Amino acid sequence: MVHAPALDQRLTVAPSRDAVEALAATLDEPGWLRDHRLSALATFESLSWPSADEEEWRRTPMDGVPLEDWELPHEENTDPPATLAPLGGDEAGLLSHSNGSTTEQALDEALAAQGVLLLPLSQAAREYEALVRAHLNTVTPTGYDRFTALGAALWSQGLFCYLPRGLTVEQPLLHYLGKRAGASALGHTLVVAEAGSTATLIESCASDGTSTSAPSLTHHTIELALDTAARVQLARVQHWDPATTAFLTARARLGRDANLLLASVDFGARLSKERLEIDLSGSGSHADLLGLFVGRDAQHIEHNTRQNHSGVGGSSDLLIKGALDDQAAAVQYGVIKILPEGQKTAGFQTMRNLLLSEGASADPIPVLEIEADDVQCSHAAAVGPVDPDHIFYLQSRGIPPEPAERMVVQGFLEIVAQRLPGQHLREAVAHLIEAKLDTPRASEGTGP
Amino acid sequence: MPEPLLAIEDLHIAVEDKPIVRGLSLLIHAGEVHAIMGPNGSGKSTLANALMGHPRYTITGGSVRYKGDEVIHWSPDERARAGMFLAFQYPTDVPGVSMINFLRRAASARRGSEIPVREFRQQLGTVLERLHIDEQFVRRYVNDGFSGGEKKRAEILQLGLLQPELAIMDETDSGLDIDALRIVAQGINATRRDSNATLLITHYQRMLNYVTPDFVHVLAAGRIVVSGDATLAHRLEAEGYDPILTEATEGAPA
Ligand SMILES: Nc1ncnc2c1ncn2[C@@H]1O[C@H](COP(=O)(O)OP(=O)(O)OP(=O)(O)O)[C@@H](O)[C@H]1O
Ligand SMILES: [Mg+2]
Repeated sequence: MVHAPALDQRLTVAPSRDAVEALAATLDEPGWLRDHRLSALATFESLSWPSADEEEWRRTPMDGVPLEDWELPHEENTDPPATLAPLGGDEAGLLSHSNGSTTEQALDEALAAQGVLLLPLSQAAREYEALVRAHLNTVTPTGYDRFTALGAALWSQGLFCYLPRGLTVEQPLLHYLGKRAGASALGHTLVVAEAGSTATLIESCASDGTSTSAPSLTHHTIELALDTAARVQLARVQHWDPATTAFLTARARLGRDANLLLASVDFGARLSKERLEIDLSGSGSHADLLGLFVGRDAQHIEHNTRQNHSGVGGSSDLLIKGALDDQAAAVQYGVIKILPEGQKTAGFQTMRNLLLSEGASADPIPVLEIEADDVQCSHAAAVGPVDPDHIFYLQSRGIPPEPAERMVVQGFLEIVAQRLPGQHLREAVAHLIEAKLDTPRASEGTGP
Repeated sequence: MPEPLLAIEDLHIAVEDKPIVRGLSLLIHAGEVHAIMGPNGSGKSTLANALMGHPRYTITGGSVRYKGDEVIHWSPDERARAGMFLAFQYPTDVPGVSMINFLRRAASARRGSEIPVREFRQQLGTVLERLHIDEQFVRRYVNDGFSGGEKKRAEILQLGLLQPELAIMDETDSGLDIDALRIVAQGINATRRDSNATLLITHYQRMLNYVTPDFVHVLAAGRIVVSGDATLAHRLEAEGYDPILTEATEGAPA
């Protein structure tokens, strides 16, 4: 059950010095982090919200996005939302956040003894100051835009993951993020992977609530710093309630021969806008970027991606696939940028959108900015209905049209899902896809 | 004579308003093997696809009765569940859908009830063994990245599993290696004279060496112009279509 919060624990925040100081005190943070937050607050105040003049915001419907008066709770003892997909069973460690506080924290003892850290970011800032200070907001600067500045000033759901040199964490590390309907949430994930380390981190976020819940905002910053030959997989499953507007800014910096898989799987939120940006500055580094989504009702699901190649011999591969029903809309604005020094690089992007209804729409926009000459790049973008030949083939074997269409849609998404890390995650995602496709239309029952 | 398994009468089929099959009649009884031969573009695949209910092929006239029922208005899945089967000339790939999942759904649909996993695996194992197909094959996505011959083998696998009463095989022999061809032929021969019938569309005598057809029909410009026994195929192989088609046209009333 969810404990009703005492009124004094509710915090309707106008970003202010008082709010930042109160939060830093509540989270028992050291002075340097409080000062860092205050400087982010100053940045926040100096910036304005992104506008439709900016290329990457032009297609984002900002009407109805709550840009003030967020309720940012800090509630102890709340249970995670029921919609939170359980991904566990084989994890090496986990951290749970709900309504602004840490509710669970565990890490395999052997890994802890070898120096692996999986901690609330506030605690890490206290106990491992030098390490956290050296990396916090170095991959995603606080002033990247007004959302990241807001997040840097007021995040309460923070995770710090540190992977020592040469160490492999076999089993996944989990990060659960929950909130109740109407609550906003600001989070930060910082992963520092030393040379030759290997790990998989899975984040799952969810909230209980309906489209009639009070509007709320989430922003989450992910920073991934991969040193030489580090191998990191980070997959995030987003299942916020339909009254939430969700922003994600995930950025990664890859050292020499580093290897990253960054995957985002989206089911929830009325509007989800994710920026996934990889800086392949290390020579020979490789990144896989995956996006998978199912959009229903009037959901808007947007990906803004960047594959920045400045290292020699790097490669990156983006694959985004989504199915859209009802009036759902999707946008993919993806840039492959190859700087003059990024010779012998390969960059690929594929964006495919399956439209399951007349009212659904998608706008995939691949952009190539190539300033080097010895490169290999390709892009493919598609929007269209289910291929009738696929349906006919299945029908010709006795399968009725509706289950046949469902099989084709699931197969379409399976191409991305099968590349997600871990059997548990793949199974959970398959289940969530099915549940989302099965959900009756929000308008159903109110029609004639 | 008992009721035919398939009775096609004066069938007309159009593709995008273009008439392709123009007045075709054919009776197939249980236990028979019919071969249809004919030049490229004569309408063989059009006939096969229309018989299976492909939405792109419009029936503009005539009738198709399967076991006495008019099936023109039946959906493809209804026809399949009733025991009709088409092995496609160009099977479609369905990315992301695993063969094993697809086969189980298809087998369950054909049977009319969900087949328990265990029983299904047993059935599938038997068919795979009979057809000398590796088990790894069914872990792949339906026809996705299959070679030409592998696609044909996959069609045969489905044929073996679904055990249709009427099997229409559209150039299944093209692209199959000799061993596979022999296995397919054995399969057809094994079920002959049962309640099953086979309609073989082929360009080659090679297939008919293994499966001797009861009837051979020559399709040209959307009509069956000549029918005969197995010797007709030998004549075609030796002489080509021209003399036979000329003969047929001259013999026909102007
Ligand atoms: N979808 C289509 N759109 C337009 N024309 C079509 C279509 N399908 C078939 N046709 C035309 O119909 C005619 C008959 O084609 P069909 O595929 O039935 O020939 P076929 O006898 O099977 O030939 P082949 O021996 O080459 O397989 C051809 O002229 C072909 O171009
Ligand atoms: Mg053909």
